[in-house]
Amino acid sequence: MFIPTILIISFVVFFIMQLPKGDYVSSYIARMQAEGEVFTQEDIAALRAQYGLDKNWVMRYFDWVFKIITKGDFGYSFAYGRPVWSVIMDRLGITIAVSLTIMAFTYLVSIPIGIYSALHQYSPGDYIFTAIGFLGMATPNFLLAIILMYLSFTWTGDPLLGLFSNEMLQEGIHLYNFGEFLQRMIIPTIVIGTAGTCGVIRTVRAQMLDELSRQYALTARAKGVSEATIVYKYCLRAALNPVASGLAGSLSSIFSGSTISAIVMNLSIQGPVLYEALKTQDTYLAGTILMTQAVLVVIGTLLSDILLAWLDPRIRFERKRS
Amino acid sequence: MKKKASTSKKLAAVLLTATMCMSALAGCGGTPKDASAGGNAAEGTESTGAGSAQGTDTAEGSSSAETQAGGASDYSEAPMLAELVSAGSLPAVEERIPSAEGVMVENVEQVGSYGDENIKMVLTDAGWGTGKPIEQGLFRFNSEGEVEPNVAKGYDVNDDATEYTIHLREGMKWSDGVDFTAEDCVFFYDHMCVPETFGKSLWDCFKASDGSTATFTKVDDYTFTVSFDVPKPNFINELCINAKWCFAPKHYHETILPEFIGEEAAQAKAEEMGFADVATMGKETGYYYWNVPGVPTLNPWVLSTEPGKSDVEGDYFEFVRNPYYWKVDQNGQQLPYVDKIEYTKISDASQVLIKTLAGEVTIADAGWNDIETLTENADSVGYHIVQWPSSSWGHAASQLELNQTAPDEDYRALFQTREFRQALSIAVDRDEFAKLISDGWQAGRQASPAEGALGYSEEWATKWTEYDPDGAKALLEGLGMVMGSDGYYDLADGKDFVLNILSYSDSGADDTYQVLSNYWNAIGIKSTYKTMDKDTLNNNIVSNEYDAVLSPVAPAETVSLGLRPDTLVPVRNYAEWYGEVGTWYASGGTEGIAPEGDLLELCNLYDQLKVAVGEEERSEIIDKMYQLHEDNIWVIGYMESAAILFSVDNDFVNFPETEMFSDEYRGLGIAHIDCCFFKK
Amino acid sequence: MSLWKKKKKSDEDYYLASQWTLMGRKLMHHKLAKFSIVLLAVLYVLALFAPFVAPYGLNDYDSNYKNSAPTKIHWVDENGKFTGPYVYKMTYVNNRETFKREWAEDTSEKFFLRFFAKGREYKLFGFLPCSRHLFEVEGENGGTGAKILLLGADNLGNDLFSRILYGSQISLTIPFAGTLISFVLGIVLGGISGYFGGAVDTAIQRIIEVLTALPTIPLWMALSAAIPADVPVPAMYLSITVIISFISWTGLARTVRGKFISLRNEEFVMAAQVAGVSPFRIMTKHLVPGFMSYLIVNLTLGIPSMIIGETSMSFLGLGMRAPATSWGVLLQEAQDITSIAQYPWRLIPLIAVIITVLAFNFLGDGLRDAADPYK
Repeated sequence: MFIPTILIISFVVFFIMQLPKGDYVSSYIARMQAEGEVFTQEDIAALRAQYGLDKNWVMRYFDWVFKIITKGDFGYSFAYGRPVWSVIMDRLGITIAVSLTIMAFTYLVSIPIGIYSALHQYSPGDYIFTAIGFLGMATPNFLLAIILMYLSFTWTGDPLLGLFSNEMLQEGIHLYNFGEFLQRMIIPTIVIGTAGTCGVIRTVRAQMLDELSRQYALTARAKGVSEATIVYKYCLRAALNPVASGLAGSLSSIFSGSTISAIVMNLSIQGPVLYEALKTQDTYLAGTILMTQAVLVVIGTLLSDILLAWLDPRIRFERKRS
Repeated sequence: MKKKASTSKKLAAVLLTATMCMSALAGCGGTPKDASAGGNAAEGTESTGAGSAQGTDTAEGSSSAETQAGGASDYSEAPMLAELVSAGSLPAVEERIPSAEGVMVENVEQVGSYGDENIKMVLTDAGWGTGKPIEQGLFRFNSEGEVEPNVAKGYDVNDDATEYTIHLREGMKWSDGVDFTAEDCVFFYDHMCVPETFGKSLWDCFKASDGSTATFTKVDDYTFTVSFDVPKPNFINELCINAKWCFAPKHYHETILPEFIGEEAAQAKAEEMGFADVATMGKETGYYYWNVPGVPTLNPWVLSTEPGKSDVEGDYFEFVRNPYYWKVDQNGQQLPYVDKIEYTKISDASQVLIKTLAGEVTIADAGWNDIETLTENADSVGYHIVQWPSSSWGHAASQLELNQTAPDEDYRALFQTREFRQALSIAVDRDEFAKLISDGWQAGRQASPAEGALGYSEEWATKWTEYDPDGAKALLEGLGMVMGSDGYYDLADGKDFVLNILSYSDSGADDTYQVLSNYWNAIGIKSTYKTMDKDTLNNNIVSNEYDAVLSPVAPAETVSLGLRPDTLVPVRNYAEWYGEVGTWYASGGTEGIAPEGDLLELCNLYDQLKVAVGEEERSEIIDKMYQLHEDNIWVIGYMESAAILFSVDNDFVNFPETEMFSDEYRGLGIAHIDCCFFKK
Repeated sequence: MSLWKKKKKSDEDYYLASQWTLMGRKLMHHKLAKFSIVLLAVLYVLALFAPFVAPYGLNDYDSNYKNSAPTKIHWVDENGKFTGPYVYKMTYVNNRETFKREWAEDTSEKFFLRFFAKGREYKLFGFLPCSRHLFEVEGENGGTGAKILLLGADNLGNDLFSRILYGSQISLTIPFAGTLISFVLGIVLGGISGYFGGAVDTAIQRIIEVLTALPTIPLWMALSAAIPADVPVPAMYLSITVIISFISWTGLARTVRGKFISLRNEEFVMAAQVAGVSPFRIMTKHLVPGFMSYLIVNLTLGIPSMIIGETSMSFLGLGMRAPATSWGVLLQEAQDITSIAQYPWRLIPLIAVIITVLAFNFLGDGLRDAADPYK
């Protein structure tokens, strides 16, 4: 099941990638011309031949897949002139670190708030969290990023653009500048994190409200089970069902990170690389990233199914039966 | 570095370029002999502009050079190099720089001192961005638009302009300490240009009018000749624009190119260096050589080879001083003054502003849209705004180019009429338009050479600029267009006419189109507008699937039609207004769409220009070409071009207050940042 | 006695009332939900009557008011006497030293506000020709007089207040169409997948995986090239929204599926199945109400992402584009440091978005409570 799905996805991905007009060579030429370069028709034809773009895309797709299967060779990135995996590895570590931080922030902040809001429905706290959550959600990420950077500039004189200061880029990250690195994580975490936080808060809150008024909760209460046990042992488990279902996509976003916000905030993570590769039709680089994402989506689906079963005994039992 | 000349003067000088540089440089060619007689390091070489005697301030410059009468022993170097010398890992400065006759003296405006502050820059893409500011060509343009010696010490040319003898600097070395000789220039031509090692067909500057190509011959270590079968009068100018540097480190390329080490070893070498194939390696090391660590160069700074600081695709990299750099200031201090250029990547051009506000850049582009924010924070952050005139014919987003080879025959015929272009031009109230678009900082005008530039005339700048909507309607009716029931003009045969305009994202045309379309609506011209990714637009242009473009990818701009005609003469498929005529010309008439009338005349004139020998003849032809543009207004412009803005660190000294910003002058390259330093 | 009777009567009403009536009643007791309904009603009425309320049109560029701050409205004259609202004409000069535009009020002439006055012509609801406006500055037509810019002006001198009103015509409608489509698709496909399981489930899950992995950027790029330039911008935006909603139902479908899997073996479902109730009925009557709260939340969360989702489409030339206006366009135009630093009023559309989104959310809260049979 796994392999055919991946193959279908990779084929569809490859098909869509070549849909826009032109190819890597034409976008390369456009950029070079903007810098004052001169190209003749022969130059262009030679470039196409060099990159193998004179063949049609189906041929190129099969060549690519064949090489992956037989040699584990994912091809070269046109733009970087290097094997695609070496390009991807450049940013993999930092991408995972950033994504995990943001994900941890999202869940650690929003699940407790969701529970609190459900237990204290219509309290001032509930309203405040709701309003803040929607504020974060209804502001486009890039606008929020710019606003926060500007505020940071007016208050501290440093807009905190990017994850690394010049000094960190030169010296690397060490213990003494780790604090500053964490400081630089604040804006990205808020910007990217709040976009997801509101969704999780509202989902958990609604789920909890549903579960808390269920018959089983009433029964448990009647039997004298402590409120904490009811809330955390029974209701919360059921309430997390949609959150678990959503995990499927999260795994692939850990790998690539967010895109447009990352561009605006100059985060050196995978998202902008993918965006650039798609725009310039750097096919093998984009294809490899997307295919890895697809693999992760499939794995994520599997994991989330397992998690669902773990959270909900009913699903678990049914699995056993069938 | 004394450049107080006004823009107009500078631009007008371009006209004289071709005329004067010939004589001036011929003179230069002779200087070495005089110099060796004089035995004076400073006087013996052509300090900046000293070769061109007509410049008033350069005369002053060379005199100041002469007052510095220090001998060769007076050379000094940066502390970081002095340390290496005393540690024994580097030869003494006198051994690193060319001989007293060969060394190039830059007469810097303020003599600087070495310090430990580095130049900080940001960019989105390495490519040329890192190259132009430090590029060293055989010859270079000075701010008067004249060619002056640089890597080469000078040249001589024979009477019929078929043989050029180029003199190099004795004792000059590559950044790895190996001697730089005529071999390297001949090697570049024979082994890199001719076999297309870096994937480019031979440049026009090496082709004579009859199609034959140049021959490079080494005379001695410091002299070589370039000869042609037929006269090639404009060779040095073209060299400056086409081939620029015209040399390559032979000793380096011999260790990697397949020609010398065999196909297999070269492939292995390429992979070891991280390139996909030999062709990529050839292109990167031969053409974008400054961006590959370890390639010897003649530039003031070379890419670091330290891990983590040497990858131009990475987030951070630096260029460190070339210990063998061959220029000194008038006090004999080896240039550059600054140890390093530190580059930080940004992912979006809008972040330049943020970096500027954070005080993290020494020189950065600045935009007119942000001018208020920039000036407001200038003092507290510690930078100032520098304005350089642009060589553009007008504000790019206010340039409208109608495809003279539009795919639809009826549209094409319409676009080819002057009256239609005139109607679109006079339909707009340029004063109101300019105020709306530029906040009033710029004024409305027709697309035409910048004020003071070659070809500028007030008449042209104001041609068809009088706001006259009724006149525009009359013109349209004169063309046989008929008012349709929808309130818009249709073609004579009743076919709907819609002006379909394309542009690319972030071109600035979103705003200009909104305003322009209102004016066009008012004269009964219906229009549509669509933006796309720049790459996608370029594809449309290459395949001739467009009617009109606002804010062209190749807006009209050049310091002189005779130097770089691409945006104004259909030499290839490039600028939007001439479309397929460019393909026609480039293919020698076998492909594309043949021009008629004035456009054909323009092509013919350019043909004549390529073989014109006398300077008088050349400028006469160039004048005619300008006249054709003025008559036809193929590019409609609505607003003047804004000056190019930079924010420059207040402590950064010697950065010129005004220079022409153009590709011919290598963008920031003309600022000669190797002569700039930080005030302590 | 009568009191008892009255009580009895109302009890009877209560017991006999349909589920929908009950929900409606409960909703009306929810204060915040009630307030939200009123607020949303006002927003929609404003959107409907936008050309009447808006003092200016979308093409009223004015170089004299480029990036102008909100107009100051005066109520009393120099002598402190109440005169009714009036404004002054604003003028500016470019200071080429500081690159500041220095604004000043031209106090030589007062321009009074007039209400329900005749002005620029427009078509109400798209067909009724009208020329009356809610308010206007007197003697202003032609752009030579004073202007009233309640919320300031954009970078072409357009009135931001008018643009927000016109923008609401788009932003209060199209995103909902999109949200609804993906909502229905998500429930139906997720429901089928979860309820039936087996091969159907596998097939739908694979489709979801493929859709999740789709690279949207090249898809939009290809689309943007394919859409002819003469398609009106709102129509293009609508079609894009529909396409987005055909891709974005997958998240909801996964959740619904998860829920259905856990619920389908509950006794009440079994009972229904044994009683011969059709699967469709089981799903709609027994399963879906079981997690109504989640669905309502999902619906209310979909709206803001659709409203602002458009801003990222504009990067690829697919979003709305001025002069056509939506809130997304306005936010897009404001997103640079200079707008925030120099013209902060250009962030006001953000408030409109947030108010709308919150109102929908609180309405959703009220609906949820009302739908809850245990309360």
